[in-house]
Amino acid sequence: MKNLEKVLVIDDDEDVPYFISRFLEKQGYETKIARNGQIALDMLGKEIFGIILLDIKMPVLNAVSALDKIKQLKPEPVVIVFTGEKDCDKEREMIQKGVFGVIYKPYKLNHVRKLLKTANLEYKKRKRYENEKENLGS
Amino acid sequence: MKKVRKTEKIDQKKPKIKRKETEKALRESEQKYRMLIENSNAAITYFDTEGKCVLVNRQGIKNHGGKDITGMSIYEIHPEVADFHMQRFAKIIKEKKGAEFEDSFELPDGKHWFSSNIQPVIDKSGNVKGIQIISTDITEHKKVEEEINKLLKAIETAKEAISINSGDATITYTNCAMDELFGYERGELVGKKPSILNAGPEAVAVMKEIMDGVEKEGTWEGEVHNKRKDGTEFISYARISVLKDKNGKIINFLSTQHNITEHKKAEAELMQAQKLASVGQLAAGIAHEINNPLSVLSGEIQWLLERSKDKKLIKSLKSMDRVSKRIALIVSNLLTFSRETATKIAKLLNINSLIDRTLSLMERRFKLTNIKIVKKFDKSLPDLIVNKGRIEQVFMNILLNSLGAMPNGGKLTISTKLSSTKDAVEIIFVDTGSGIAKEDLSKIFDPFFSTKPTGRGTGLGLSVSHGIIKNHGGSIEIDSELNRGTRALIRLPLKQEKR
Repeated sequence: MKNLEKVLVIDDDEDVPYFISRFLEKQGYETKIARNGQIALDMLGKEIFGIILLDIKMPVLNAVSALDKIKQLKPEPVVIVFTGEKDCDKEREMIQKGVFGVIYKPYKLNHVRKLLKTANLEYKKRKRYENEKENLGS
Repeated sequence: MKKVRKTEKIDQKKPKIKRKETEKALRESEQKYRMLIENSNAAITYFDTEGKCVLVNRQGIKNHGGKDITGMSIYEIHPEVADFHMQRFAKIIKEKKGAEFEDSFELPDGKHWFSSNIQPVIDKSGNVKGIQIISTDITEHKKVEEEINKLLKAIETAKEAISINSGDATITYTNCAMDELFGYERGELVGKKPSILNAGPEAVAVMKEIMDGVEKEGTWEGEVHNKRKDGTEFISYARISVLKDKNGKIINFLSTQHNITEHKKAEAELMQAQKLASVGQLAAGIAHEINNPLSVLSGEIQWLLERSKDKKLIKSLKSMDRVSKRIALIVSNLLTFSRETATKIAKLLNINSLIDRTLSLMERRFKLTNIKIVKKFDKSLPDLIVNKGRIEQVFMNILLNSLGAMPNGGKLTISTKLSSTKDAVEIIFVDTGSGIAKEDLSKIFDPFFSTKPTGRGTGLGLSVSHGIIKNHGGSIEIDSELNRGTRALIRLPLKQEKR
C-alpha cells in the first residue's frame, strides 16, 4: 500500500497481540507476533522490521532487558511500548533507552493509529540518515 | 570465866551453826543463780565501769570462740570496736539507764548478729558499779529478715504492676508500678475495692471469668480492660493467682500485670499494613489481568464505532464504550491503590489553596444538603511538593464521604496545621455525620468495601486515597463514632524521602 513498514508485536497476552495485529493489518501494515522476548529476538535476527510494539509487562525476558537486547541487536526499528499503568518514572526510563512512544492500555484506537503513522515516518527518516552516512563513508 | 567460856562456847557455837546454815543457803542460792546464768541460752556478761569483764557465762564464752574473757578488758576482747562500746557504756553509766541494741560481731565462724540488753548495775547508794549485758544470737532471725526485705524490695521496685487483694475483695497491697500504672498516689489504692480499676462493658463478665478460672485452676491470665484514676482506659495483660490457707480457703489474690495498649496498637497497625499490602497485591494482579482483555474489548468497540453507520447500532456501541471506560477507571483506581503508580508530576503547592480548589468544585452540593463548612487553616503553612491531581483526588474522596454521611445537613470542619513534631502538615476533616460502625473501621481501606448501598460507591475511594497518601510518604487515619461523626487525619511530610 502506502509503503508501510513491517511491525513486530511482542506481547504475551493471548488476545491483545492478535487484536493489535488485526487492527494494524486493516490499516495496511504487515505484522508478526512474538509471544515472548526470546522469540522476538530470534525473529529480529531473521527479518527486518521497521516498528516494534512491546508490552512492558512480559515474562521470559523482562521488558526492560528485552528492550536493551533489541536495541543491541537492531538499533534501527522504532520501538513503541504498551503499558497498563501510568508510571512516569518508567516512561522516562523507557524514553531514555530510546523508546519512541508509549501507549496506555486500554488504548484509544486513534492514538495508536497516529503514533504508528509517525513511527513509520520516523523509521524512514532513520533509514535515510543511515544511507547518507553510508554514502558519506564510502 | 569458865562459865563465861562455857557460855561463850555455847554462844560461839550457836552463831556458827547459824552462819553455816546461812552460808549453805547462800551457796545454794548462788549455785542456783549461777546455774541459771550458766545454762542460759543468752550470753550474759558483766563488765565493770572500766570496761573489764568480771563475769561471763558459758554461752558468752562460746560466743567468743571458747575463750574465757573473764578479767579481760573490752580493748582486748574487741579491739576494733572497743571505743564504740566504751562510749556506749559511758552513756549508760552517765544516764543510769539501760537500752537495747542490735550489733554484728565477727566471730570465728563468721558474722553474727546479736540483740543485746545492756543495763547498768546500780548499788544501794545509787552508784553504777558495772554493766550487765544479756545478748541473744539473732543471726538466723536477721537472715530471714534480710531475705524478706530483699524480696519486698524486689516486689516494690518490680516493673510489673503487682497487687494483692484479700479474699473479701479489698486491695491490701500495691507496688510502685501498680500505683503508677493506674495513676494513683503511693499506697492510695490500699483498702479500695479492685472493681474501681475495671473498665469496659465486659468488666463484670471478665471478673466472673477470672473468678471461675482461679477457682478451677488456681490461676488465670489474659487481657483486662482497665481504668486509671483520671478515667483514661488501657489494656493490660494480667496474671492472677490465689493464695489459700490450710483448709483450702482463698485468703489472697495475687495479681501481676503490665500495660499492653501500645503493643496492641502496634500489632493492629502491623496487621492492617500487612492486610493492605496483600490486598494491594491481589488488586494489582486483578487489575493487570483485566486490563488486557479490556483493551481488546474497548479496542473492538472503538473499531466498530468508527465503521458503523447504523444509528441504533452506534447508540448501543456508545453505551458499551462508556461502560468499558468505567471498567478502565476502576482498574486504574485499583492500580493507584496498590502501587507507586502515582504519576510523579509533583509540584510545590499550598495545601490550603488545594483544599479550597477542591471545595469550590463541591460547594454547591454542600450548600444544597445544608452542610456548613468551617475552615480553620493555618495560613503560615509551608508549601509541599505533592502531586496536585492525586491529592485533590484524596480530598475529593473524603469530602464525598462526608457529604454522604450527612444527607440531612450538618457541619464539616476542615483544619490545617503543622504537626507537633514540625515535620509534617496535618489536614483534619471532622464531620457530624452518621459515622462508621466500630466493626467496619478496620475495613474502610479495603478495596471494594463500602458502607454505601450497592451501586452507590465502588468502595475504592479510601483505598485509593490510602495509596496516594502512602506514596507521598504520609499517613491517613480515620476515627469515627456511630451517629456522632467521623474524623479523617491526613499527614503529609514536609520532606519526602526519595523513593
